[in-house]
Amino acid sequence: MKLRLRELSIGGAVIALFLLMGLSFLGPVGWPQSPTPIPVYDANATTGNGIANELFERLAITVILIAILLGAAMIGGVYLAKMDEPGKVGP
Amino acid sequence: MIPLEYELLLSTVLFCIGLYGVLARRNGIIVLMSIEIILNASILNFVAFSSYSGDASGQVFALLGIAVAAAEAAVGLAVLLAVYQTHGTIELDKVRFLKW
Amino acid sequence: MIENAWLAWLILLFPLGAFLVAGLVGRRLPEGGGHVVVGAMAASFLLSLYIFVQVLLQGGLGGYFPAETLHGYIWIPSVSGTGVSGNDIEITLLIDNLSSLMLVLVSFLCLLIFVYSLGYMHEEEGKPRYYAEVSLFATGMLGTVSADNFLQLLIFWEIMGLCSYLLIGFWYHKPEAAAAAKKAFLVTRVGDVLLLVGVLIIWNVFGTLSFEGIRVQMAARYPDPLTPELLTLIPLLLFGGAVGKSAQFPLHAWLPDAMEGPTTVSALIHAATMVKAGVYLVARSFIFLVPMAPGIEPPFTAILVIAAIGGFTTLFAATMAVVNTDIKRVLAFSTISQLAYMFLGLGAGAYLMATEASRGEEVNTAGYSAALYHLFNHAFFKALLFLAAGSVLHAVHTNDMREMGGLSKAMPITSKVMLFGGLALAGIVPFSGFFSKGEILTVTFEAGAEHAGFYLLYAFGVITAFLTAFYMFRLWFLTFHGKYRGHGHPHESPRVMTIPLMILAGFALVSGLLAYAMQGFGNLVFFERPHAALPLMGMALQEYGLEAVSLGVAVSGIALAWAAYATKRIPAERFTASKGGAFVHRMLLRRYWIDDLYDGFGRSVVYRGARGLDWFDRRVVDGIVNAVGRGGLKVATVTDAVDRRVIDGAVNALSLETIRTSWRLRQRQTGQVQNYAWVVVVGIVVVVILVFGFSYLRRFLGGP
Repeated sequence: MKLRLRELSIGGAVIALFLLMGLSFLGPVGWPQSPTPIPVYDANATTGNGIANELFERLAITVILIAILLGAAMIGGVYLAKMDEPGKVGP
Repeated sequence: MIPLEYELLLSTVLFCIGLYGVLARRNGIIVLMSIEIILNASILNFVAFSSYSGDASGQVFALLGIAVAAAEAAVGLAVLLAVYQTHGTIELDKVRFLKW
Repeated sequence: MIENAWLAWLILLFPLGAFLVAGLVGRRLPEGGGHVVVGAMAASFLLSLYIFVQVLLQGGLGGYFPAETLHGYIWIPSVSGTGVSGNDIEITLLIDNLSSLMLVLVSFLCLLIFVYSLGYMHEEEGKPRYYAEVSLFATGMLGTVSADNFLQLLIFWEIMGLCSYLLIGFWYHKPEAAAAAKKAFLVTRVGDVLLLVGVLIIWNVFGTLSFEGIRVQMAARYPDPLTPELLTLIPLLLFGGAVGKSAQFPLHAWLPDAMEGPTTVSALIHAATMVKAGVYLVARSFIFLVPMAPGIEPPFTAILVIAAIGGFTTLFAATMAVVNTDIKRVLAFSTISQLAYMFLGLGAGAYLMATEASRGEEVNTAGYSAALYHLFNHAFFKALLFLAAGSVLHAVHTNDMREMGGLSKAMPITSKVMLFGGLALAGIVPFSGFFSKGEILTVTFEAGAEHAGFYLLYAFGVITAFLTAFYMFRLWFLTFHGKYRGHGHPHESPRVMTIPLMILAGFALVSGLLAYAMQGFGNLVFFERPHAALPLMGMALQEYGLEAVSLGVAVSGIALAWAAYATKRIPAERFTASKGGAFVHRMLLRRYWIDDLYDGFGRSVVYRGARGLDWFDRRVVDGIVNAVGRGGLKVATVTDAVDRRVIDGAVNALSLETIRTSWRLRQRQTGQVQNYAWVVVVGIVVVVILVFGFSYLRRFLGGP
């Protein structure tokens, strides 16, 4: 019974949040109507609309930092996997 | 074509499903997976807005968000491993350090 | 005017001061302060003699000496507007013939008896107490005879009553003495209550209590508010006080028992001074008995009552004295009898004066003077007799005359002075008793002409004279004649005791002859008009005859006593041999069973009444008080319960709820992160609803 109550109460809260979020964008809000395609790479240097353009020109340092972050995560994962074998790294 | 609201609704639904998983599941790994779902919902949101408003920043941020999600999953698993090693269980019900 | 009249205050203050000295520091003084007391009394005597001489020189003899009043301290100021001025209640001394004579008499007798006490009480315990009490008593008596108003007289009267109680019960370890003291106080109390009522009525009617003031107002207040009934009632109430104090029938029972005290006490209080205060009071109440104002009917009923009680008691007491074997008790009954003579004299004299005044004739104040003359003489020879008896007691240590006898050889001085006293009491010429007793009997006989009852009282008086002589000489012969029947070693008393005896014996002889020097005692002490009649000179044949009768019965009484007890020619047993005689003897010994009557009355009525009242007090009154207490207790219990349950409960509940709330809140902190996350989600929902919800609500409702 207790689990039932727990799940029900969590479900109630989640549904309440869902309804709230739904109400926030539904209704007479002026969203754009149709999607516009965005090229991955735009050779036209003046407009600079492409994703890659944006990523490697403006946010270059961010990409490098993200690479460092993922590299650290990978090293950490390897370390943790090696912990399970007896001996090599401790404890 | 497809109105933006559908895509926003989808992301909301995903978010709520993920939220439910975070709050209601006792197994720690399921909680981590639900966190991934939440992150995915927010990334989907970014992409939807970027597509309909013609701005590339949304999609760029989506890429970076995916990277963050991956890193966060790794760290989460490391934490869960530490918890398992100290308490012998990953049932989040049983982990009560801050109980009164 | 008396020079240095303020000295009169010292007459009272010296014994009072001696009382304080002996009472407070007497323990450290030799003889327990006795010398201080004697010295104070001597000073008082000299002062009163000084004042008396001045009174004599300024027309006290034969003329009317205007009474001098010394105003003292105003005790209760008068309420203004009551009509009569000068009715403050103040402490005032009155100096006139009678009071100055009484002051001299009392201070002289007190002085002699105190000197005698120095010897008599030498081996006793508690001397400071004795000297303090007799000194206070002297103050009381001197205050009584010098009082100017009835209230002051009453106050000093009560002081004497107190000292009498204390002194009778001087040996308080003896239960008989303690009982006798109690009896004396209670019996005289009855009289004192009557006196107090009389004083209060006087105040109510006259608005003033001083003798002069009353005398002045008599005419103004008659017959309203001073009705004839009140005029009879007031002197009767005052006489009631005198009956108590002077031990007349029916309040006589205390005096024989009062002989339990030391003999000097008996002499001082019960022979020479205190019992005389009653006679003094009746003499002062002549202002009621013989009102010399025109238009006022004198209260003949009251006068007859006084004379009748006097006449009856004199015979009554004399009969009881005849059979008693205790030397002091015989003298006590004798005192009662002689005092009754004085009351008889006052009554007869008042009757004569009243009838003469109501008929408008010249008033003959013989009876008043005769009674006071007898008072004067009796004081001396009765004190002498008591002190001599004390001397005998000191020698043989027993009161019982059956164990005495033949003491005249061992105690020559005592036997001779007692003989003098006995002759004076019996009334043999030329001793003092003859003159005064003779005058009283003469006056009674004369009053018989007005009212036949006085002839009966005269007969009583004559029979009493016979009995007086008889029992007095029975006493003398049993004590001093024949062979010694006791077991001790009698010897003469020390000089400090015999010298006062000899002085008193001298006075017993000459005090009667003082009348010659003054041309009649009535010249000195009189009511309204001096009675300048000399005894035995210029009298009618009738008076000679009366004097001869009284002398004759006295001599025959002595002869009978001599025959019965001295020579044993007529054995005493002959009188008690017959049944009737034995009954009479027993009746006299039991004092006519009056004491038993009082005792039975007290036991049945008074005691049962007291028991009933006690029951009432304990059950009803205490029951009410206890019930109130229990009710209060129950109220207190309820209040306590309310206080504990309700008020404390509220306070406790407050704190308990706080604790329980905090306990419940603590449960929220489970330590589970998912719970916290759930709370965050719910919080977001609530905050968003609150922030945006109200504005939407207002927009939806307030809009079109």
